[in-house]
Amino acid sequence: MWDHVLQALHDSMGRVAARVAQILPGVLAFIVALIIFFILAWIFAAIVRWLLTALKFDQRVGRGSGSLSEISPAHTPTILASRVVFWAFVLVGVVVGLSAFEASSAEPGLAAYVLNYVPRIVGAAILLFVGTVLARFLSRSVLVTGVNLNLHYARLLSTGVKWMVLVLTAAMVLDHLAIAGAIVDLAFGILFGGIVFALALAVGLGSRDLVSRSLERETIRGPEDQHDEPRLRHF
Amino acid sequence: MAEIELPAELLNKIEKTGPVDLVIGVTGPAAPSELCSRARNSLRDISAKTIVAYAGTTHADSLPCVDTPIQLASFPMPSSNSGAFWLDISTAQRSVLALAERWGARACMVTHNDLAALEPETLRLLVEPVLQSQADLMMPIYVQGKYEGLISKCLLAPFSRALYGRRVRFPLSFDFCAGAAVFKKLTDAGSRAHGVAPLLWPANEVAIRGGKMGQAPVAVHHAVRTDHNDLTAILTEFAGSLFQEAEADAAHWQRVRGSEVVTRFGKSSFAKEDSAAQIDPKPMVESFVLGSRNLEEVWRLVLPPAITLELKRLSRLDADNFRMPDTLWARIVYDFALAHRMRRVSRTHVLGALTPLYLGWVASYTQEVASATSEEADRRIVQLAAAFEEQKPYFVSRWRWPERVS
Amino acid sequence: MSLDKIIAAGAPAKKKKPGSASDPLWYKDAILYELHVKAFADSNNDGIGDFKGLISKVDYIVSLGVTCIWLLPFFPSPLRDDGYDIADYMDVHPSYGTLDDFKEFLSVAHDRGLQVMIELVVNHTSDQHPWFQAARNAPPGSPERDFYVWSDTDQRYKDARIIFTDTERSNWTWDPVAQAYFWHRFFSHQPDLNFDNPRVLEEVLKVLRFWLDMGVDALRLDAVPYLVERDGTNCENLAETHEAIKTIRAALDAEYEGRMILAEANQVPANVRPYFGDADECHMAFHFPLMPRIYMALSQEDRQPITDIMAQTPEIPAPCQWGLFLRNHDELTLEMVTGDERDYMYLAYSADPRMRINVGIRRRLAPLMENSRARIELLNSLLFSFPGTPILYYGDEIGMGDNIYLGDRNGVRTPMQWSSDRNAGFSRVNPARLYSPVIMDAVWGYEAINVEAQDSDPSSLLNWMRNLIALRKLFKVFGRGTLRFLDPSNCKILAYLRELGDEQVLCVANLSRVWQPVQLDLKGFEGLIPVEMLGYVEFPAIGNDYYPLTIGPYGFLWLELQTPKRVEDYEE
Repeated sequence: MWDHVLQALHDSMGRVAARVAQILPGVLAFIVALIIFFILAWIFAAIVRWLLTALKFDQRVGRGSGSLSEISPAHTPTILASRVVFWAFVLVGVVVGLSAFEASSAEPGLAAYVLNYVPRIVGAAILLFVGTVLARFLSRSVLVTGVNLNLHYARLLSTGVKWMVLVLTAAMVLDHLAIAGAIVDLAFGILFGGIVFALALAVGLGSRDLVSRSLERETIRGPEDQHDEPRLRHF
Repeated sequence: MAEIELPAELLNKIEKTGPVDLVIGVTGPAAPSELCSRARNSLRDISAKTIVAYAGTTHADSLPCVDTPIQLASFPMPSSNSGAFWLDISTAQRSVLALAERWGARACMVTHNDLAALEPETLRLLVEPVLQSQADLMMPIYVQGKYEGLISKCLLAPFSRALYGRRVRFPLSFDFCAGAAVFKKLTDAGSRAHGVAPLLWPANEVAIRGGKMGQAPVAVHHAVRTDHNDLTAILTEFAGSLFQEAEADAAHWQRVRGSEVVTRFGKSSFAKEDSAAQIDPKPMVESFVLGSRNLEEVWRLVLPPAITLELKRLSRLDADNFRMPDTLWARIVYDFALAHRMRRVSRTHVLGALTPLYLGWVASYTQEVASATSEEADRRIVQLAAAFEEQKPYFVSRWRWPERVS
Repeated sequence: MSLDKIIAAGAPAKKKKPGSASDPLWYKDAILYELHVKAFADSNNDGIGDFKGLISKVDYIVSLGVTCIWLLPFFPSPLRDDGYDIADYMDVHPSYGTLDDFKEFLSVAHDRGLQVMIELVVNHTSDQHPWFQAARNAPPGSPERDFYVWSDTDQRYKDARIIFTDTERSNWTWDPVAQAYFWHRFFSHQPDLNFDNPRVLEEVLKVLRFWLDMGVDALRLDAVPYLVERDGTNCENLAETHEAIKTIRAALDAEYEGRMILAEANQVPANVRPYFGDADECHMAFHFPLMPRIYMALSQEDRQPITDIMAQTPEIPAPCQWGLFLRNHDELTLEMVTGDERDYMYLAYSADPRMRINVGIRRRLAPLMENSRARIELLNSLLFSFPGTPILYYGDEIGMGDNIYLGDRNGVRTPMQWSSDRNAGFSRVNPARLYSPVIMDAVWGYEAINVEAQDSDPSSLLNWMRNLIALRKLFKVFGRGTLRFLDPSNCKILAYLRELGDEQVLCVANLSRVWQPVQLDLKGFEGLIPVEMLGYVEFPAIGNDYYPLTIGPYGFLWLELQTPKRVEDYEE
């Protein structure tokens, strides 16, 4: 009886030891990969920084166009570039480390899943941020352009664009987080399809008269416009 | 901005010819044969050793202008790929001026590549005062009807006049003639405002850096189409550049008070009578109302509450009674210039949101001058410019203490 | 070696090396921002600010509108005098980063159109400097030994005063290794270099070239009156000292363009005047005595202290400029005021004896003004409208407080207050590891006073400062114009005219806490229209009579005198 207990204990200890022995190289590999890539990242970032400084990249970019001055980033382009390089390498290091870990561990599922989830959350957060900023910018752009094109539904259009981007962002975020995958796909499909369908219906049925009238007006007014135009010259 | 570089071939030619009196530069590609005949015809009253330069292909020497003191030269057309309307013209104008400087010319005339300005009378009016040292810069006053050149008349000219203190009618023109004294000032202008390669505002530049200025009415009609879609793009480009210049020159224009009359050469009347046809203000008023209904979120960030309120009131008027006071329009332009500087909203959005307001003013103007002669309409424009000048303290005070909004 | 040879030794280049500013007189229109790398921003979270942190805040400095950054010493040092005890002139203290970090900072600053001034502390070194270690171990009379000032007795140069009266008893300290006394005008761990030795000057020029070659635009010459010692004198402002400065300037002019040196000479104006030479010594010098007198005038509600000191201020050569400041990293020094005035200042501005140090008051601007926004604005308006280049001490633009419970002058050198986050957003480190505690009390704490909060508040002191700086930069007259005091009968009103060409600015300040009327004698300006510069409001035209004004408590007016507009002609 006691022998059996001992045997069982022995076996379980052996199993655990085996498990640990199985996982340990993976963890080590993970750490080694991370360290190596950290060093690589540091080196490459330094090289990039040195290169860009030598090329006077900042001055060139600053001189190049006006579009940059509009955003006016908090860091110089050189620092930005070298930072991007650095974190890209670190990210690659994490991925390499993870795959090494996964390859050597007996249970690829859980550990990898948990570890994989962290970048997803980060990615989702970035998506959400970019999405909301983009939604605001685009909706305003559409609004301004729409109004300047004399579109009476400019506001509608801009709100539509805003929500479209937001819905798209939300779907992407959820999809990225792999939360309720199928439902999100389905719901997004239905919602998006619905919007398009509704628009089609609205234009096709509801505003049929309006659309045709405006089209008619365009064709009728065409030649007259040509005649009318030179009288009012903005420049 | 990159230095203006000239190809070795051209430099050799400059070396060979030696100093000349006049360089006429066409700011775009032109057919050499036509250019030659037009130039010969238009230069018949001016005895000056002349180089006619045009942008584009480098086969200039194959078609020399025989029997004339005129020589042809071509310079490389700078490519900007910006898609902007005026930027290419400005860049070409700068190249021409740099060329004239290299050539040791006494005067340099730049002109549009439709060659409409290559007429004896136009050239006489613009070039002679410079060659005779009566002016360092001759700007044209295009003879136009009351419904033409409205961006210049109601925005560019009054804003420039109020800020830089010179009553120049067309601060941004296809054609002008500069004297040797201001070549450097004009070609340097690009490097001053660091960052973006800006448009060249010859009159404003000379107003800041000193120089005698003159203007002359010329009956030149450049065929530039500005249909409605382009309006926002053009307005954005011009107003954006003008506002940017204002930001760079803040130390100068804040000390300028009043404005000087610019010496006029040639005949004094330059208004052209239009056909009697009326302009229908309705579409423009509709654009304005549409804007006021939809763009409030942008306008609110740009304009102080009092003006936003006033615009709301205007949007309730029907088209026939629609009038935008000059004071209001001047303040709006100043507030937009300020918003452009402050960057609280994206600059493209700020400039885009100006179009409906501009159309509002145009609608108001067209109705006011509907039954007026061109002469009277011109007085109306002068009155607007005076309003800009009167409102300048408003601009200065808001520029200095932006947060003090009433 | 003769002076010429010293200069020629390192000057083979024919083409002069330009600075970052295009105007050679850039310092006349400059606005300096004085900061300590240690105290500004910490990027690596070790509790000490560094160059990478500073780089991340350059945008803030640009947004302030200042044009030149003045960095306090950042060189390797045992840090027993906040970096003014330098152990290596040609490197960066490891806590602040590396030399490459400095170069990066320099290029970032230049890209943003900022000039950079650093310190050239050559009167003395740290006792840890290799030169001193070599000197104390070398036999007397050897070249190494001769780098410093040695003596067998502590009775030489008896007439030289002791500057750090709180800590030092003598200017001589016995060195047991060298078996001799060495000379020091400041702390006993800061031996003075021996400028009678040409090799010292040679080494100083090497240091100068090292930094100027890198692109530094300006150098502040620290403690410049004390370079040379002679028996029977007070060892300040000696002719030999001026010779040394002339040599430094000649070396600068020979090889560089658009650079500037600024003299720190805490002396009465008449004694500072020689430091400009005939425009062949320093480009700039601090106007030390003005600062305490501005405070005194405010406290006494009387303009006389200011007009007196300005009357004693001699003319300076055209390319030269005074450096003006309200507060800096040192104490508000009272060395250059009379005994009575000093007692008055102590009573008025340092109720707690802890607020005093040496011969001065160790407090920041806002606490000195009892956090009164009106008085802070008034003093800044004087700073920005007096003839000279204004210098802003970091933190004063947001009205930061001080900590009088920290030793020495560390109370005014606490971390910059960026936000209400941990450690005022200065660093993410454990608060205990900070080089100095952040200020935390209810009135001055970082939760109440910080950049983030003031940035979002349009009527904050920070935004007010930005506007005032922008306004000053519009008018060259402030940096380059002449000054003339008016003499109204109400002595609580300080009124003066600044003129440069056709730019005429009339400044009127009310030094008292209540409304004051004043009648200004503006003869010669009849017909001109005063335009208030901040709001661009036209005042009534100047007539033949006295010009009456009424000014609110601690109020000030900047009036641009403009010629009236011509009658409009609409002939067009």
